[in-house]
Amino acid sequence: MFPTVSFPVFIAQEKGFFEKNGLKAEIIRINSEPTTYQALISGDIDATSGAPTGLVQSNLQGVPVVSLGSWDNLVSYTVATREKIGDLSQLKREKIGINRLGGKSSLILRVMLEDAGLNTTKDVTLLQLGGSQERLAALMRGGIDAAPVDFAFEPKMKQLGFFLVTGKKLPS
Amino acid sequence: MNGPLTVKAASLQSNRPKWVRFVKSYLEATHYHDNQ
Repeated sequence: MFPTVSFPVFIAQEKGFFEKNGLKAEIIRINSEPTTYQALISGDIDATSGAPTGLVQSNLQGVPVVSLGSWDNLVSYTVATREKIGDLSQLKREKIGINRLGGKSSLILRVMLEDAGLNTTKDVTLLQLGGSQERLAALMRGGIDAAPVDFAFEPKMKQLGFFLVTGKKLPS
Repeated sequence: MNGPLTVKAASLQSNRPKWVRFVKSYLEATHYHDNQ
């Protein structure tokens, strides 16, 4: 499944908008932000949709990449847990699935957990498992206690009996 | 900003018309509804 942030690209392909504008596109799902940016920089792909942390890191490393825009100014993750908890501080000493260290899911999770008073290097164990689909599968198997998962999976997570935890609200 | 469309700066400089058409397609997709 493609993450929600990539839906416009998927729709443009499926509904013929690329073709109408004289473009021939091939969409490839790459299940990791660092790998996505390696592919962009090496010329294996021409553009990416997603992976905001790679945009910053690439420029910091001296590889000029630019963003053409985005349709989404929200973080499209819900933290799903196997056990019901009142807030994210209760994830202390738990195993949490992320995509890869340095990627968006680990960055977002780190901010959320630090907001909840946890030290992400000492208080929790982060396991690099892949995309939302793989993290949800690990939750189902019981290999992890929690994971940030794309909110497109919310109905599925509720159906499977997982608990959804929100982060601290942004100031309005 | 989440999910940015990203390209190499050199590619944007050398092939701007292609990327303009790409963004146009992307924008059209953001306005798409099932009942279209």
